[in-house]
Amino acid sequence: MVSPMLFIIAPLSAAFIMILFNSRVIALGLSLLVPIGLAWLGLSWLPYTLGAAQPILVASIPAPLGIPLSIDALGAGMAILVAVSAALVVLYSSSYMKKGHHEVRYYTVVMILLTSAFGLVLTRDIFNLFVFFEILCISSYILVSWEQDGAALEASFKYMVLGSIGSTFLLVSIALVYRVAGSLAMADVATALATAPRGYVAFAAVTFLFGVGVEAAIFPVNTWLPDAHSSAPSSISAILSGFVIELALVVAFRVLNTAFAAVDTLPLVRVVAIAGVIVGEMAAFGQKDLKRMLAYSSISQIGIMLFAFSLGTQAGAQAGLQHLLMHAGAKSALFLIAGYFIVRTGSRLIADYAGLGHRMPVSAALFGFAALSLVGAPPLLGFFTKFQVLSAAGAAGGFTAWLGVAVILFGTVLETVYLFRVLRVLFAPAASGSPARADMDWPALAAVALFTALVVFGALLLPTLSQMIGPMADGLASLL
Amino acid sequence: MRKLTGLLLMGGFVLYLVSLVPGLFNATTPTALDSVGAAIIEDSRTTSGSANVVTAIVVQYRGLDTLGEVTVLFVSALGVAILASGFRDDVFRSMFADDDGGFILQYGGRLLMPFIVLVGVYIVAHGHLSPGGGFPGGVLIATAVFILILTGQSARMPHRLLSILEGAAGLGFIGLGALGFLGSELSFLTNTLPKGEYLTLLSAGFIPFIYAMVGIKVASELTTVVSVLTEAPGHESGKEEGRS
Amino acid sequence: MISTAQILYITSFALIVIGLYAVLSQRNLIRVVIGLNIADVGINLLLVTIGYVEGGRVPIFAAGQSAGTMVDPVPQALVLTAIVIGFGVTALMLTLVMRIYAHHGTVDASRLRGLKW
Repeated sequence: MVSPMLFIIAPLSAAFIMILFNSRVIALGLSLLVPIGLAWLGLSWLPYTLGAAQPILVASIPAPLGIPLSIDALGAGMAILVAVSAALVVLYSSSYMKKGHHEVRYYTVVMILLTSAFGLVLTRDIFNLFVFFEILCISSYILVSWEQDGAALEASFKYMVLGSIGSTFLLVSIALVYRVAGSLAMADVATALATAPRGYVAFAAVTFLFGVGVEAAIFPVNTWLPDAHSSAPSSISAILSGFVIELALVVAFRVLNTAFAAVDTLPLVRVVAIAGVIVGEMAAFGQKDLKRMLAYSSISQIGIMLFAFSLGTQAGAQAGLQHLLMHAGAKSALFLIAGYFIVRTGSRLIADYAGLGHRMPVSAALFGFAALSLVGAPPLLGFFTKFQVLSAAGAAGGFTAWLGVAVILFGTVLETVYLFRVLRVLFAPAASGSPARADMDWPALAAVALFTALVVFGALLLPTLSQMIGPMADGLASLL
Repeated sequence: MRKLTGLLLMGGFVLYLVSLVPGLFNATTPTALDSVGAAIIEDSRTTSGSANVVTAIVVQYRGLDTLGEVTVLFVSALGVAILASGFRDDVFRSMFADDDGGFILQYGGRLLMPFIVLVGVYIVAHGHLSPGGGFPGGVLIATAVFILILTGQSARMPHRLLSILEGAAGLGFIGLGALGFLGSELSFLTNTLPKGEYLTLLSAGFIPFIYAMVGIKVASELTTVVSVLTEAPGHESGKEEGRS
Repeated sequence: MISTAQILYITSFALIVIGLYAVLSQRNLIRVVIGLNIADVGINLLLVTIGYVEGGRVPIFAAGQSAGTMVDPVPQALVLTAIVIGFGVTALMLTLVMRIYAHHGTVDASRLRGLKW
């Protein structure tokens, strides 16, 4: 077996090699090969992790003296999702990004982002978690500012300020925890906090939630997201909306649910999740800028996943993870297609896309499928995952669960209206004659088609997938 | 409005802290360690062979954190370089003095430079014996370059060389860590090199070598950060005009 | 009687609160960055204080010296990491402020449309 440490070592080495050689071919080749290789590595580890989590020894020093890492079903699953999405986005980038200008540096930063994403799913140490969160944040700041126009610079600065406040809170929480636990390993933290004063633990837990909540775009601290995700290059929007916030959400929820299990934060989490759903959908409804609309929709989708997790049941966790998978596919596809809409029309406004469906028929059709899945239209994957979230909430019962059901249903109505508005504009009769067909370039089209295939045919695979997602859902409540 | 929100939020934070006071600031300072730190102090001599326990933790016990830390520095230096390359107008022309600093400053700076580098190298090399190591030592080495820039003799930095150094030092760190895969436990960042004699320069296995890599990386990255900011196009053209 | 550690705890939390207040209330972007740096210093102080042991000495062994009581070395290692990360973020933020100034000719958040929070 190949060591899972390769998840961290391979992309990081790739980044250093790219800077060393400064060649486009090497950069592009490595950033395609490394995620594909790691997806295979994740797949090869998945069978072993479905039964039990596999600890990874670092520096031959076991916890608590060293840093404990471990790969469990959830970790392997998230790693596969991240690796596959990254490979597809790199494929898309190869035709979407402007040639020459900083291209090597772009792939270098993406590789660093991947390193931190894999590190986050493997680590079982709260300070190591902080370090990987910081790498994730810093590489996201850089990628958000990539276009270097006024909006991107401001969005990146705003993201940075909020992110830094978040990491301040995260570090305060870690310091408070270390003071009572005397150790940074999550397992020790969980035992020590069980006997610590409740007010103290509650404070540490809420500070932690606030700290990681910034990166995971949890409701009150997500004001950076619409600006950041809409000003970034579309390939980056797809990475940020497709797996970065989901990953941060899963990691944050797992730590809160295990290391901080001494206090019951689930009711608080459920309330902010429901608030996120309603705020996101209402804001998306009023948007005229396509990417901003999609970014606000991400806020509400994150809310749905967090709501499902916060039910605290196995069914809820499983439904949340399935919805996460669907959202990763659909939202990545939507952002990637939106990128080419902007390239072809030179505008971000939905109103300017009138009749674009005739110029870019394949892209527009794929956009339609992904949008329908996001809404939850019956034969597509989105219908089943959303339905499972709702039925898990119904099974859990209680006032906030039913409130959540009502809010999600109301949100679905809004979502249907605003996404159909986009589709109607896309397929409106072309205003001036019929300009030449100009679909996406083929690497981009291939990447988008694969993302869309996931949400279209995912429903057929769902019985198989759910057998694997079941053990992954247990990972949300386990520290091993 | 901004101030009011800020005040309210901070007020709430402070109030909550105050309510925690009995738990947070309990009356006495501990007189003995009961954390994982005590165990590491016991263990560090045999496991790492480093006299400086903090160094042992930074490089070996929590070596993965340090790899992450180096990565943070790497990616932010890269970010600064990317952003600085976008300066088009000459708003920063007057930011750095157009005059060249004068004879005494220039030659004083050049005279000082080798000694600063020497002290930096010393601090990097003795990281496992005394306070110091790759991070402070690397910063000191970079200071030698800052002095050149401050005295107005910033010849264009060899950026290509700097980024080669960055990449090579990063790979060196990972390579030294990967030596651990050769050991019996197949574990990344294991200190497999011979530990040498305790309290001497060549001891503590791979710790001085990793710190050397960190030193090179920190020095080259800080130099990149400072030089790309001072070499912004506006500044360069400003200097040319000043001389003609 | 207030102990040394208590003074340090209060100072560190005061620094964090002052720093975060500066971030939330100031309109000049440079001051926002300075506020974050003040908060960083507060956290570093907090971490070091947590590792403090009454009468403890530096956790470095020297020839012919008994171990005695040492302060906790782990938070010191954490502080090193936190300082470096703080440096990286500050450098990036200041470069962004320079770019924003070059682009808009101002660093006043109230005059930048995208910086309302």
